[in-house]
Amino acid sequence: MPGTSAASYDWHVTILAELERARRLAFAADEIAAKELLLSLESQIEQADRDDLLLEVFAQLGEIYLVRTAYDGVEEALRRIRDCLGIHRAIRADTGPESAEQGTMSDAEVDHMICRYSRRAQFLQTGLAAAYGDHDAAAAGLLVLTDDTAAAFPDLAAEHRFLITYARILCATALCDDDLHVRSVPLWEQVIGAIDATADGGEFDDYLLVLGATGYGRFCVETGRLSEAEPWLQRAGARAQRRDWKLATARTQLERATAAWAADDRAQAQSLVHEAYPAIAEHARAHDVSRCWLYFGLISISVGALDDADERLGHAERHWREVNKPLHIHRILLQRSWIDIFRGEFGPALERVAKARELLDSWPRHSWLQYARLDDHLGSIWRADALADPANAAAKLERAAELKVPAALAVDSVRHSMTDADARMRWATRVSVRILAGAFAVAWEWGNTELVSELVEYHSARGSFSSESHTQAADWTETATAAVPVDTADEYALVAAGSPSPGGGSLTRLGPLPPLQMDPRGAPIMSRYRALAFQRYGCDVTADEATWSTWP
Amino acid sequence: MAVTLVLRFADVGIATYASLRVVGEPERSVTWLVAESDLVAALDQLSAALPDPRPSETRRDGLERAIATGPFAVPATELAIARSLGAQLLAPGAWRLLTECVASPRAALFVSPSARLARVPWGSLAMPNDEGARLMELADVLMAAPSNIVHSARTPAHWDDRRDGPPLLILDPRVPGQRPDSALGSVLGRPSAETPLVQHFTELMRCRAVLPDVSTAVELFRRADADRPWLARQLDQKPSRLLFVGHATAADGDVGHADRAALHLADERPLTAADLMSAKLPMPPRVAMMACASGGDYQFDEATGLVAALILGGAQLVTATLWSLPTAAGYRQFAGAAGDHDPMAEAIIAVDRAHENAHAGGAVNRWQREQMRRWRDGDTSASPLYWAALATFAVDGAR
Repeated sequence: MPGTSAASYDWHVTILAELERARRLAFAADEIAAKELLLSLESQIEQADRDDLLLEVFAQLGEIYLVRTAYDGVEEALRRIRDCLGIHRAIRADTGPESAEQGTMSDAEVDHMICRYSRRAQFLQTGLAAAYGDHDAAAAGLLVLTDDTAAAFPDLAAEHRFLITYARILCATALCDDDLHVRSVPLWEQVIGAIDATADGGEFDDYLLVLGATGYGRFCVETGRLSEAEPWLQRAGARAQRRDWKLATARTQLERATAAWAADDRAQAQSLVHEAYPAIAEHARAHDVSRCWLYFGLISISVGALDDADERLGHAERHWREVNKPLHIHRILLQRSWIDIFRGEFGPALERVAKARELLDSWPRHSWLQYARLDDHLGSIWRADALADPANAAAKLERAAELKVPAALAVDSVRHSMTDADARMRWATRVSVRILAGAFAVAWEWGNTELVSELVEYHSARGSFSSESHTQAADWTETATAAVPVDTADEYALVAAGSPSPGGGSLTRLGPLPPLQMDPRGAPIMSRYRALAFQRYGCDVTADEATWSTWP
Repeated sequence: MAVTLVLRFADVGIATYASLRVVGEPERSVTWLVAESDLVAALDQLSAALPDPRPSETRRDGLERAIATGPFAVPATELAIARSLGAQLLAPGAWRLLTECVASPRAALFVSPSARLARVPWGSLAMPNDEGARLMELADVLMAAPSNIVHSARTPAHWDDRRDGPPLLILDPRVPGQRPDSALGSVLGRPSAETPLVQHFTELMRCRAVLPDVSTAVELFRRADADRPWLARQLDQKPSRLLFVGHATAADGDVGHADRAALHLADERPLTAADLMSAKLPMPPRVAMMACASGGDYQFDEATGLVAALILGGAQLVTATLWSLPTAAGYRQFAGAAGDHDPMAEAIIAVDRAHENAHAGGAVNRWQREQMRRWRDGDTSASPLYWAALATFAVDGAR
């Protein structure tokens, strides 16, 4: 214990209590109070020349800045932690004159401090990389944190476990923010394993439980597993309420609202998002604020209040631009274009979609599925335009088919690359049914008997031996909230190009179909649309096998 | 060369699209959209007519409704349903094309329904006009197997190579642990030399050898040894065809698992479509699967899973039932003036005879037409619960 006087001892105890209070304020999402408290402690601690306590202040400040998306602040905290640790490391490594000056702390205490705050810095660095969307760097950072198995200080083990799980939650959440749900699966498994084990823990455990269960609940909603989401969100909500963590409670309500929307329960979605919004706005979580505005906008669309909807979705877009979330800006642009469509303003709708495409092009982590959905949506604009303009309908519907049919073939062939029947069902419900239905509808409205009959032929080729969902949400309801099923272990962008397999004892052929010829006088059907699907999405929707004749 | 038509349905989200085309004349194709409300109404009407229990009904209730009070109990209400299905599921343009294709020899119409339309008796559909001609009168109605099944690796057995072989007859095998009156008990009752069914097979045995090798027809029934190994041994003797009469069950309420549809042999465990596929049992070119309900077993609506497995095993023509056929005992219990009439036996004999014909699918259609005309003319002993239930799947040019 550095210092020996009673006054010094009392001061130390007081400071520790204050640091703990700051931590509790941060857990309760009262970051402003926590930050002010920490800053007031900083000057006192500096005067007392206590680096261990100062490091705790920087580490806590860093976490607060990270949560509040003040990334410069995180960088600054990291820099100060590292500078301080660097000096101590140099002193410990060197037996030079400075070491004699250190005085106040023993070597063991210094080592303890270096170990502890190196981990805290590593956590911050990992969280920051995740927040920037640099998932590879985040994964590497996480690996350093988990690989640190030094057992010299058993009293730091609990904190180390806390940091690892916290970092995993941040990495997994950031992956989901970028639609990389598949990559987040192993992280969520570890998070769930960790938080499930601490059924009735202390404040730190509760914090992880609430954060982890909320994040995992959101992951479940976004991947179409609504029934799995609900218990986790309920659990997170109950724990947050018991702790009186208002923002955390509100965040579980927001996620439950998204689940209700996905289940087409608009009344419930509306009531939950309204309950959630005040706390989320008060705590200025830009991303969640935007998500609230998105659902407010969707609810307005659902009652035909287009001006309101436009304003609300505009708020969502603005907040997302503030935190620079390209994928979300992309989606909100698509969603806003529905309002243009409903107003019959197809030019502005096309402009918005063009901007959305530019965003996707410039965003390094785009996937083929985002492009397929974008093209499908563009097709919806042409289709709506055609229906409003009977004189030029045929040309516009042809254009819509040009966009929608290849997208439908791509998502449908991915569905059939899934070996698990339930996974196929989820993909159908959440992704492919709506896009496929759009392709059929356009061919039908176009009056193109040949294309309709080819689509029917294509659809029948695999047989109708499995019953499928016969519900289908309206197109506009899923534009910005579309689920991203993760039911294949592989990246689904690649699966579509896989070789067909008979699927051990199954009646369903997996993988793409070979060319289909439906009449002895005809050529293989939809060859051009299939080629377009390959060109646009890299999805090989045609197996390299002999043509199947499909007449009996 | 007879004309071949193809009628396909595709459920896509909340819409069902259909196409009808003439093979070799794609420019005559017709497509249409079946409205969801029409489709739901059609299925609802149908389920009111069929013996499979509806929600809140016991199996016995379902049987009683179908035989005694439902729309298939008398010709007028059956015709009304047939017309209404005809109007809801086929567009006027489709009926027109079908009418234009009426010819001699009769055109073959292959149907591939969507999953939701799997139990529709297509041949019974009536043209929504004054004459009300049935689809089976315009064409021989057959079912198409999906292309992925047809184009799977399989070694088809050909009728011309096998026609002289013995038919394999599996009649009401004894499911272990089931009393005759229990859910998986007897479907044909106690066999005796006097019953029309035993007489039919006695007659058959006079003309040709059958499998299993027995000295009297009675021994074909209720066998306790007809288990999996027994079946494999019989199939190894290259029978010309297989007739199975007994229990078949659908997957236990699970959707999307047609490969769990199963036949019940004299085995503890039912033989599922998946078992059939993995055991790679060599099937004869023709198979008839008459699934029966004694009012006590499960709904059988996934015959297609078994049919696909049989085709993958080498069969080229499979006659199956779209719903469970009421047993003779069940029928007599609820049909007022049935007397000792046995429509179940009548249907089995008809299919057995048809499968000896050069064009078995056409022959099954012929019997269905005869029955339909008897029924239309007021003979209520020709119940559509039997003749309308038959559906023949054909591949590789079999008709």
